[in-house]
Amino acid sequence: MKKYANVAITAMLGCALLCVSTAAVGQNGAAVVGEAAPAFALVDTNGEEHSLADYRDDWVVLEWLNYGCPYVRKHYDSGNMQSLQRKYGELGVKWFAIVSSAPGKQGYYPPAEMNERSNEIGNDALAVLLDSDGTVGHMYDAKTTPHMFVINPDGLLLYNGAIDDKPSSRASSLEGAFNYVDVALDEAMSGRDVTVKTSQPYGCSVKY
Amino acid sequence: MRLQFGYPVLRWVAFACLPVHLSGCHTEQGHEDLSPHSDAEMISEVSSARPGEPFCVGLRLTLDPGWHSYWLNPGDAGQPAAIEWDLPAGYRAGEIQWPFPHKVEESSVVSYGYDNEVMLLTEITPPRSLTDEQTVSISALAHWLVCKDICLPAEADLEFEIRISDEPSLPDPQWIEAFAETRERLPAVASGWAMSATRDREGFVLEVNLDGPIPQSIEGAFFFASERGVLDHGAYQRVARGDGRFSISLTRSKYARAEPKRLKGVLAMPEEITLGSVSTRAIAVDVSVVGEQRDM
Repeated sequence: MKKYANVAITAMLGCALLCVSTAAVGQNGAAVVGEAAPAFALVDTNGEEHSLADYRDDWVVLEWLNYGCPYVRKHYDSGNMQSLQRKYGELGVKWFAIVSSAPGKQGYYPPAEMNERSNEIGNDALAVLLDSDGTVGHMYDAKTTPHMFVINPDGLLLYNGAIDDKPSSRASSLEGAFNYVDVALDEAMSGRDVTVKTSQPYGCSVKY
Repeated sequence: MRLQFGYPVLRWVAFACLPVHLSGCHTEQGHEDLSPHSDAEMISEVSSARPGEPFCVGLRLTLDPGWHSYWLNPGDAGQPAAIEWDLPAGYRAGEIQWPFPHKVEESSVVSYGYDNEVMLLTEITPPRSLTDEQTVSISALAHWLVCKDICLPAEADLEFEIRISDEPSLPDPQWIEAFAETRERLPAVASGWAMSATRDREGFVLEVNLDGPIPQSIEGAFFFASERGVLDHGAYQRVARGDGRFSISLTRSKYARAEPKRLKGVLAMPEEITLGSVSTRAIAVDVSVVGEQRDM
């Protein structure tokens, strides 16, 4: 992953000179669809650092996570989230779950325990990234768990919003739900325009 | 200026009987608490109702200190309460009538809801065709979300009894005050105010023209949009005072997918204002939006 770092830095500098948006340098709440997704670097539960720049040339999904939240549980207990993680993981999409819960608040676990939770629940994301000071959450203005972002190989944010169109914590709401992430990835990866680029995210508040 | 409420004024009668109500809140040994940190009751405003004439029931939620539940538009997070009615044949239930909420701010996440206690009203109409006096039992499954630093889904199986007769309807004395207090917090239609919403770069400006002096205190007035994805729920709303009018600046939601044609919601005033013979804290807003459409 590190081999992409130098190319990415040059690209970012170029972008900073040419682009009006300053999203790439970590301005709060600056994840704007159609613009560069804010750059970040976070350590995962196994101690490995991942930066968005490492994944330039890849499709990336960011999923804000809190295992204690009933809305998150709706998607995991049913296998709904994992099936998406697997489907797109197999297509090369880099799917990251991010936990911005502050220490002591719901959703926060130290790395080893977070891995235990992930194994229990069967999380199929590439990695769970730990953002306990909330820096990246605030950078993306992550409101809820789940809150989803889709980033293309050029580093552009294509989707920012809810996972689907049924803002309920009840398992029955999965039936007939329109999954914005599934559709956005399917459209974008086959070269089409994303038709639904944003929607009001739903879930529990992120526990900053 | 005349305020209109969403349901008819009730008439007084000779006697009352207490409605039967059950709450799904008792935790027993080994049983899961289905309505954690909160209790629910379904309370009929009257003990008897006439065929074809609506009466009011209140879903009364009492929340443990520090816990909150949500308004019609829950804001950034959460979920509004919902009622699934199991009505006898021919009975109709209206939409929930929501007292105006307050902001619940958790860092950058701003929601709209209630704490302590709230009563959500529903109008029920018995069929016109009932001829015999009878007592019916009406049940409902209520769902809500109760949160503090964690969120817990809650539900309760509730029921109440109502006597159907030709006698004039009598309010239950035990609940008169609770219903009156709840009605004070329902948004009122202010027919003496001319309101308009104009699109601007950041969102919208809601302008209110009064045919009288502006209330003394308008700073802190806050507009709660009734739908998600229209406005930024937590953005500061600047209130500007003019001559016989005031305006509130509203910020567009970054999650909006289309420009709304109408601005709908509740304008909550910092203090009670008097419109005609009625005092209220909240005004219903439903105005068309004018101004240049942006490309979304």
